[in-house]
Amino acid sequence: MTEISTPVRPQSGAVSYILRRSPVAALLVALFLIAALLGPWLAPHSMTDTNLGHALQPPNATYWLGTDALGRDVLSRLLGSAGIAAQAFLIVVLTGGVLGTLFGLVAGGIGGLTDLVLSRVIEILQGFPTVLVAIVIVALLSPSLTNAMIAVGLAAVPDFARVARGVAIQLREREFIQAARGLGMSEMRILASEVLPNMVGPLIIIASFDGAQAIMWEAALSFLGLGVQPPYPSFGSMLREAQNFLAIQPSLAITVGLTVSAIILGLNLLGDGLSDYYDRSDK
Amino acid sequence: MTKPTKTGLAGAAVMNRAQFLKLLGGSAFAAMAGSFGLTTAALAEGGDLVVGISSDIKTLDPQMSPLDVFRHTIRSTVFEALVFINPETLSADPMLADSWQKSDDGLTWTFNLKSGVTWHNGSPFTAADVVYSITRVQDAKVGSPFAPQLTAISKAEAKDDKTVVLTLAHTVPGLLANLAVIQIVNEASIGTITTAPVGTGPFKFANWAPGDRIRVEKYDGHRDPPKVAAIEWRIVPDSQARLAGLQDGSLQMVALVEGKDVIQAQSSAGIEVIQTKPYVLYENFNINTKRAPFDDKRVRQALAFAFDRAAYTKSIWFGFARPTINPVPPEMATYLPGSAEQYPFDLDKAAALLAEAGFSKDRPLTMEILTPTGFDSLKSMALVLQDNLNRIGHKVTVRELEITVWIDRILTKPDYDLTTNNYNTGPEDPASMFNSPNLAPTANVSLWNPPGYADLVGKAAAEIKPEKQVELYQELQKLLLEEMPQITIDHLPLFFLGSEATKSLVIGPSGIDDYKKIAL
Repeated sequence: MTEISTPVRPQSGAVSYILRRSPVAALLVALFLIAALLGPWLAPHSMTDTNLGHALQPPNATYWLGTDALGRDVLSRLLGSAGIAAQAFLIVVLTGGVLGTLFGLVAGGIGGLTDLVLSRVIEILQGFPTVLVAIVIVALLSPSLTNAMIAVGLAAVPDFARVARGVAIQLREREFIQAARGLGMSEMRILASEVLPNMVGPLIIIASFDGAQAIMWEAALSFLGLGVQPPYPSFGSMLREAQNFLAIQPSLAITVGLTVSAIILGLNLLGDGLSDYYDRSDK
Repeated sequence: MTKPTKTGLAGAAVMNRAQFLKLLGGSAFAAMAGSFGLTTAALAEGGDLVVGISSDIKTLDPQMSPLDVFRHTIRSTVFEALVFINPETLSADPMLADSWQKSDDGLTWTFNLKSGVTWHNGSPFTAADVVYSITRVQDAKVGSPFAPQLTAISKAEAKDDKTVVLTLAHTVPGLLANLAVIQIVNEASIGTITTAPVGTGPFKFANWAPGDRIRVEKYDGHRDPPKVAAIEWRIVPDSQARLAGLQDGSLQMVALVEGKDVIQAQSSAGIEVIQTKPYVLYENFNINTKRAPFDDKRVRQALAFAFDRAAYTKSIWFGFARPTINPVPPEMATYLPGSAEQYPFDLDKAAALLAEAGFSKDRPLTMEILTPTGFDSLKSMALVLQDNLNRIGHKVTVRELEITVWIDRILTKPDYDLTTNNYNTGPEDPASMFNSPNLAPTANVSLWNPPGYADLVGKAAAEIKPEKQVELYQELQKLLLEEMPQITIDHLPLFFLGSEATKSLVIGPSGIDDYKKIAL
């Protein structure tokens, strides 16, 4: 036992792989990140200021994507919505990711009765209907982005947990783990320092898919008035407002709809690309 | 797809709509209607008038529904009052009463009832039912919101089966207008009025699936039977889905629509716009005057200055509404001249008044505006006021509530700062506005009843001499505009949309409509 064999970690950078294999994903996600991070600085107008005199304008030189029924600039509101969507992404991935990984890691790594109990808890969580849980949480507390997204984050826990558990079970009997055990490391330390780093790849893939889901849920809940509260913009509330003017100003609904679709498409393509990347480097 | 235009809202609407329909071939409408549970099966039912409404009703009891916008559904069809206010003449036509006389001193009114009228359960309608209905509304234990309409009546008695005599404590010029909103109910079945109401109206109650639909069916025993077999109101909260329902024929009519719906309907063939006189309704903010800091009139006046009514009516109502700060429309003889233009939009003035009351950027006014779901224009109103106040440094939130929850929060157990609202102006009688839940001294949403107000309302309602009456009502308007318990925004007509056949709907000014003439 001279050398501890570690599984092949990705060697060439994931970023360059994605740039090469799915430039569309890279472009869409980059645009989304720029909008989310720099939105407030990029916005040509205020996101919340109403201007009834300029209501429902079609795209023009002053308002590049037109204005909504209260005369607010659509482009600025879209940029604001991207920021909100990014927050939704983060809250869901952090809640789901941290809890799910912890559950899965402990369940898969330790096995036995712990696994049995934790797996049942995860299955119960998986059985909850996401929207219903979100609506109940929002009704009990109050409608806000954080409350709505924590509910969605809880629904994402099983996804992360299943992947983490699977990887942990696979790795449990591998040589490098046995070696660590032989060196006297505690089980918890093995999980944290040996098993966890090896599941980052699969977890990132789940994060990109569940994050995209989070953005959709955020839009859906805000569409129902349960997410972001006015005057702050959100894709969902913008779509709902646009729907009232579908025949008067269809460009409103089309712009918002296309933006959401582009972001979701970008994140899903990114997830696919990452999945290819890790599959390839595992072989 | 769209050309940049500066102001051409209407032009853009027509052009975009045409393009839009060409693009989608109308299929989007049908698909949307399908997804909202509307089916074209309604047409096959034969002779059913299917009407889209945006929200549910609170109760089936016609004497208990204070703020339900859609209370007119049951009140207009299942029940009848003694008289009906003709929307053209604004005077009383016979309904359950055939004729009436008043004594020379104006204190005794005799009503001769129609003969041959029966209740839906078969029993004959008599004078005792009228007496019962009036005393029920007056009964403090019942707590009817219509009680203020009948304060002048000191005694109601049945002289014989077909004659009712009302004795008044003082003269009331608007007695007939008051009686027009008091629906006559059946004493024998009063226990089941909230589940199976029995009336004398042209339609009998069939069923109410809360949140879904209300159905009434033709009553064959009516003296002037309706031409449709049934009316079914479907609750479709989404305005676009309601329009889609009209387009694909699953709805024959949509009740109480907004400017954006009228604009869209005007550019589509086969949809008629049915409307009342342009001052039958007003939109407003009610302020909870019992809660600090809204008990300070400077705060309320500041809020009145913080809203651009002209821009709101032009863009949100596409010019179909008329801006005003005074709920009394200029068409009424009692209107205070020049008052509609008071409190022009002035954020500096609003900020200054709020500063006087102790609120500034450093110590912002924090408040919540409630608005009922299904009323897009009211929500826009809330959002505009929110934005204007936030811009001068205050912290305003807007909360949308289901209509039944909303009624609880603003009326049943008042717990609110500000709410959007709308009311009938009651153009047939100057007293009407001051006798209903919008401004009645004994019970109004703003919880506003300053010293002397009740006396003034009572005096004005009892005044027979026209000049003196005008003077008293103008005094009331001055008080209202100074105290600002509610911020009036605009006057507007009631709008219905429907097929050609539904044009014979008669929309009454006080929320009692006549569906009998509609033939499909």
